[in-house]
Amino acid sequence: MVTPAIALEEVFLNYRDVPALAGLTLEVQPGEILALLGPSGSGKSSLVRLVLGLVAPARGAVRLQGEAVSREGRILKPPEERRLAVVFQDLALWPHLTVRGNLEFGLKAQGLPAAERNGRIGRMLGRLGLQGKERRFPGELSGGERQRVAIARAMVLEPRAVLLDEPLASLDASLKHEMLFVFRELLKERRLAALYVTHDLREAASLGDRIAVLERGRLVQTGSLEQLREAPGSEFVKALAGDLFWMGGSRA
Amino acid sequence: MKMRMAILLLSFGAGFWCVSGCDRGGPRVVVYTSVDQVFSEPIFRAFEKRSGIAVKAVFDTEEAKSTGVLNRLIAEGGNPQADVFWSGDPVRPLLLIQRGLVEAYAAPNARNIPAAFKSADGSWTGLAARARVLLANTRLVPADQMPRSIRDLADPRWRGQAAMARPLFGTTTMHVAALFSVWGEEKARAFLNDLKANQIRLAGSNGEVKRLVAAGEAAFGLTDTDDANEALREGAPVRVIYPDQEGLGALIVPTAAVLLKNGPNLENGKKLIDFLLSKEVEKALAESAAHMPLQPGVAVPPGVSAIDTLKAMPVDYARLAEQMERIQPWLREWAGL
Amino acid sequence: MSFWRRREESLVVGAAGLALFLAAFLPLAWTFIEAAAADPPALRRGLAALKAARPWILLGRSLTLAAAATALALLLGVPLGLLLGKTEVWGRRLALALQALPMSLPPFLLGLGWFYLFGAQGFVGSEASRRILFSELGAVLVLGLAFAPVASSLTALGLWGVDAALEEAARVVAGPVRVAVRILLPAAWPAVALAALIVFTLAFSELGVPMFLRVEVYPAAVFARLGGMDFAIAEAGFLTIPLWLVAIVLLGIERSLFRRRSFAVAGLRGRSAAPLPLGRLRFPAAACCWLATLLLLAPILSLAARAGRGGGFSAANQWLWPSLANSLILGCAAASLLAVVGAVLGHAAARRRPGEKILDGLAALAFLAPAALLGVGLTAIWNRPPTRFIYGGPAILVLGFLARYSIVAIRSFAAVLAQFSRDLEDTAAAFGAGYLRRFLGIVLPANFRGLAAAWILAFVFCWRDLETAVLFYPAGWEPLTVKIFTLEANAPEAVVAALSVAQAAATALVLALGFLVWRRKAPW
Repeated sequence: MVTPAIALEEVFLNYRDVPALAGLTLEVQPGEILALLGPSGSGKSSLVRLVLGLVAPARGAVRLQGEAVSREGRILKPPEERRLAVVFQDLALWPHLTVRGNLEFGLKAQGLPAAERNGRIGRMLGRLGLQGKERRFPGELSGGERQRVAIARAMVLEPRAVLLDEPLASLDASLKHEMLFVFRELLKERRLAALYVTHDLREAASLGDRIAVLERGRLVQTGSLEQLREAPGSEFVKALAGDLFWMGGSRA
Repeated sequence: MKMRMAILLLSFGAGFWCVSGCDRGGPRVVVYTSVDQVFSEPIFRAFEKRSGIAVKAVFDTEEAKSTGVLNRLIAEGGNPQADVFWSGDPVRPLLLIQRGLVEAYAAPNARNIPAAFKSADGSWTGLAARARVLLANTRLVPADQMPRSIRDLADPRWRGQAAMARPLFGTTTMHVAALFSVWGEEKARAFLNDLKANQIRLAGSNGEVKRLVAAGEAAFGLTDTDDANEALREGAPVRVIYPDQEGLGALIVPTAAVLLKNGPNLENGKKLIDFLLSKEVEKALAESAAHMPLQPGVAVPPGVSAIDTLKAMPVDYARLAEQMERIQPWLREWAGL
Repeated sequence: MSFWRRREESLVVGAAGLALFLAAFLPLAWTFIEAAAADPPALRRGLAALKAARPWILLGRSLTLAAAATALALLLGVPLGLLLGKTEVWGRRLALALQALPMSLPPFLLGLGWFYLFGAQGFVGSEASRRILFSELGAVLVLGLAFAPVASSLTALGLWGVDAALEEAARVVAGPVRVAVRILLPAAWPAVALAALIVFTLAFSELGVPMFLRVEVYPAAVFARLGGMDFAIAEAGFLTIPLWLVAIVLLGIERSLFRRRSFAVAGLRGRSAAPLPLGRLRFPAAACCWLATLLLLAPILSLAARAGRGGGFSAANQWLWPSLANSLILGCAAASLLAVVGAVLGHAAARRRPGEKILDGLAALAFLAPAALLGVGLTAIWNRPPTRFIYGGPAILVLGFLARYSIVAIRSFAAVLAQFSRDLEDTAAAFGAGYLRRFLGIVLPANFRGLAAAWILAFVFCWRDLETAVLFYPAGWEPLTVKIFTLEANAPEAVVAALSVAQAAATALVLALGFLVWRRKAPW
């Protein structure tokens, strides 16, 4: 049996004394993109912070490639040692660093030599069509360019897995479409495990290999889009699937 | 960004280096003084120019807002920072002597100073003196009704119109303590209670008494010669009266130079004391602060009395110190603090 | 390696906390330790001092005085802040900037300015005005006017922080007056409440003005036991117990009202709505504002006039420069240290790290404690042969400023961070950056302007400090405020007035320079 890239085992988590995750078990296999779908307030963002190691589970364990990194109220490995990458909804591009500086920051933290850093940054910027923008500050970029910088910054680290926390929520439809394509291509060509958090079934369907539905801190259903549509596990799934009818269920 | 952080760290480091280091080097002497800064600082500058020794000073006002240099000297006793204490009065040094914080130094220049104004063993030496005087506003007090004694402060005729500094600090405390030793406990307390009953105005300082009288906010008040002289110099309508010349005498308050034990620059401290006891300094203080010279043969400017023309209150300054400490709680109560 | 890296944060925060502990807690606790250990009768005397009725009467008087001064400051400052911050009054920015000047002087000097105006022989003085000035009412007026700029500037800052959309949505359905009173002021109320708290604290702990105006207050009773002939330190220590209680109550109010985000009200947003039109009221409103500004500046103008009349400016020349340099060096060094400690602890506070509440509380108490007590404690703790390099030089003053004003730096940087997206820092953590790398690489540079603002604020507090420095400044390191204070004893009034004006002018210069640095647009 293959060791999952990310595994959550019976995780409980409280957020401001309210249960955010209640006995959640979830696995992301190596190379798999798991789309985590849920309405707002369902605990999606808590789950991301949990995996990153920014919060500790009250009970249960988080494993990365089989290694327990958080368990029973304790963070065994702090975020900076987990070798993960993340893209938040607000992108969190560091405003005082240039595009290049943003990409370089994590590489320096890893202690990579300059030549290696430059090579990786050059390749990544080229791959995402960001050549010539290295010396711009985030404030000087368009929305699409910022998205690209954020994903480039995550991928250039060659992390064990990538966490994407509603990164496209603020984009318009056509740009969203384009970025989904970029994301999927990048993730797949690197065979990276990814957890993609969203409240939009369309995004989940176009990017995820599997879709996991989270409601009120519990996993209610896992499966492909077809499975979700044929046997919706909850009212939420049913409503979303109904909205998607005109899309024909095909991947973008 | 790196540049900016580097500049920040650099300036931080430079600031600290400067703060901890740029003060060192060169001969120096550390003096704490409760002689008003406006008078004492020029004297120090003159010494610096003369000797090439840098004077590092801590100034105090001996008024209500005293910065407590004396307490600081006591607190620092275990590890003295100062070489010389130039006190505005002869009582504070005695508090230091009692605690064994003073090094006796029989300065050559002290020879000619009257015995009443120095200790025999050289642990303190008086110089440039003030006197406690009455300052009256000539617009409010007719010439024929000028107060002549400190008892006039309690005269119902001047109810609510006389002023003195709150006797918790400085020369006023000393004055009260002198009355306690000369009159005895009972009489002195009765006098102070009379003052209170007469609604005497308690100022924050002797300087403020001067201000009140000069401004006509009080008819007359008890203050020091230097403050009184300041009022004259400003052209205020005031007259200076040396009190009790037919009776008790006026209280003379010499400033006092003291060498401290285990100071960091002992030799330079001696040099500074020699300078302070010179005729030159007494002359300068007579001119700037109306302090009476204690050395014979120093010419006094107009408005300053010579020490030998006055009737001085007979006090043993050494006993005043104990007296002051003893009556302080009572005085605090009396002043309502 | 990872052992140290995982502990970076604990080590750095711990070091900053330790600095605060050594600079503030130890000296303040020392009076009690000393009294208890060396001299049991002193303890009894201390208790006796508290049992008497007098201290409690004084305490009541001080509280009343501070409350009245606060009421006056708010009554004047809040409308002024509203008009200057949010309406189309001519020259509103200039008026706000001018009001910062009185805040840079120890209130005692403002009291002196009022005295030159309203003393019996003042410019417009009479016996009647003198009597009012030298009374409780006078103290309330002087302190209320001295601290009104705190209320006006905080109100204006709070109003600028109100979401423009909120205001614009209201403007669509209501007139400007209704918007101001029903929407803007309620939205800015935390700023107003904070101003009330600060003014109350400053007025309550003020020593110079009540002493000058001969109004008896509680802090003077403590001071009398430290500056007087008998050194009743145990009594002084015991007399501070009620002050601690007041401080703890104030801190409790602040914590429950604002959940300690109080300084966040001073946050600046990018966009603010257009100023409210005043219509026909524009001229009278502007006239009122400028009259009020003039009133707040009156003591400084009076000082300037007094200085000019007696040729004070030329005579002040010989006194000014060395202590001006001292003030500048000490202010810069202390502000830098405060900025560093404030950044570390402010970050810990904003991120709710364990222990930050205690440190924040300690810093707040050190701010409220009588400076005299802090000074005595610092001398006792640090004047030892091994620490001579600290006590014998200016470092001791820097330490004193650190103790007294760390709350200013901590809170202002925490407020800056409250508006700083946490994701920026979390992303850096996820990307492999440990605490130091995140702090130095992301948090500080991305908040450089906030750090600069905290530095400037800390500098101004050290710059205007009198009561801390006066008690233990090392020989030869007299700051300008202390020089003015000690010179005031017998120097000609004109010289003292001229030095006070120089203090104000130098502050204006420093603030203007700081503002230019702060305002320079970031490259991003």
